[in-house]
Amino acid sequence: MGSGTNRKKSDAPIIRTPKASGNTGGGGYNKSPDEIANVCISSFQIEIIKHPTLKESMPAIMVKNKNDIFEVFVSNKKVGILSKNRSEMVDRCQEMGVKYSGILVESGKGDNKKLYARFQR
Amino acid sequence: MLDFNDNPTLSLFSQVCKVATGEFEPYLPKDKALSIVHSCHNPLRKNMPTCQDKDIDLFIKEVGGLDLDFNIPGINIPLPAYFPILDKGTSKYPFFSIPNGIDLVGLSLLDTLSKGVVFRNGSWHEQEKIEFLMNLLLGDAIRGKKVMLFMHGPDTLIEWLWYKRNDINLFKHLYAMGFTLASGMNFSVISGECPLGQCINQNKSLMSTYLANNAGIPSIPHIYTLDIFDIEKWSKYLIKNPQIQIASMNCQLQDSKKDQDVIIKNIKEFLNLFPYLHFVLVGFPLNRISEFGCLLDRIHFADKKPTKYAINYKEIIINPESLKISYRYSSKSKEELLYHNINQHRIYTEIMRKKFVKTYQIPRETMQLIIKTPLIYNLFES
Repeated sequence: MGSGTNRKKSDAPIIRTPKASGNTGGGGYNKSPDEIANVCISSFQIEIIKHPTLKESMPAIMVKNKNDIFEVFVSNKKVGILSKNRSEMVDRCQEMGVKYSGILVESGKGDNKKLYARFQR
Repeated sequence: MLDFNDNPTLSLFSQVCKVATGEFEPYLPKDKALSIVHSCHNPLRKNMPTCQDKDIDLFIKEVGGLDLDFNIPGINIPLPAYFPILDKGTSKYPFFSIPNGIDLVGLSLLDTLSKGVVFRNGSWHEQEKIEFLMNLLLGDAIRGKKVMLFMHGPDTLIEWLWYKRNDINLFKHLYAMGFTLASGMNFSVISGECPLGQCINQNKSLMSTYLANNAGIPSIPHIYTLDIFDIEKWSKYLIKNPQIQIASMNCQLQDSKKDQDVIIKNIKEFLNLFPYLHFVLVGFPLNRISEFGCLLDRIHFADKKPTKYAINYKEIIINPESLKISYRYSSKSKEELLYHNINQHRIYTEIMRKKFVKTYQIPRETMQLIIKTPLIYNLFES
């Protein structure tokens, strides 16, 4: 990116531990940041059902239900649900100290416009 | 951070940084910690390692210590006053999209890959599979031209390629693609963050220049200057390595006048200290290049604006009276616009260089363009 005064939220890599000299394979030392970089993807999104009260830029949060699946809420209203795999990833990442912040985003044009809850690491 | 009189003063985070203890002197003066405005506490190691990282020694060891100490060979390639940076799309445009006399073009690291990183769901993501576009330099628009590789791009890309550099033979692949010249990898150095992390990133950049040269790609160092300490550090390096006659600096993130003022001041300082040194400035706003004055004969400007504008159907216009640069939307084809936009930036840069460096001879092709534009020619003659 270069030298400057600000970083972009959309471009925030987790830096992996340097590989030992001569070690040209594998995944480094498998220490915490490396594991986070390998497991916790930088962003994901799920489509949510449109509703007149839901607008772009509204914050979204994830809450784990009794079945260990994460549900997505906007303004106290449940708007979506994560898959089992994605829920497991979020759960594991939370244990490692990673938080995902969510926001509603619109994508597409005209009648194809869809609303998503987007979560970034 | 700065006080109301712009003097460095302690911030909340300064004393927490290990640099403040003097532990890393003489390579990192403890006063560097005065500039910190973000906490060094970064257990997830987001964006860069800091002094608090439990593995920081491994990062320091990876770059061979904190001193700038890589022996880079001297490179003496004549560079034009201006050259455009294309992308992988425009590199395939017909050959007539690039004006005559443009013999050197730039491309960035992102253009060299078909797989490696992807922008999805609002963020950059790493891809396990990394694939190079080995025939990139065979595109119609650039075939037979000299191509400079600017190793800049999103941090996700830069850090991922650096981490995987041995696994994927990064520099051997880039060499095989046939670049004439490259600049060091552009690791982020953001003001206010941990100076130790900044120092490691600067060293990583210089190390990438060293590795690229070793692989056979003539490469120039990428210089960073956030403060007076950086200027001193790089000056010492340049004194020890007088064979280095060309360096580059990325100015794309310096949007504010204040940040651009700093670049102008620092570049002038380097060029006055080293009267043989040339700089390639990437993305510097052309409407401010006159402020370099007679030093313009050793500054070479490269930017992507003509390309970006052409893709978005924008036509660059130079006002013949005020020489102000602006744009308007156009119905011309993208190829025509690319040709036109490159010419506008080239004419502007050449006129400015000639204005301040009286002995400078504008290349024949550009001179013909200037003559064809009577209003600009009149101004030029006056």
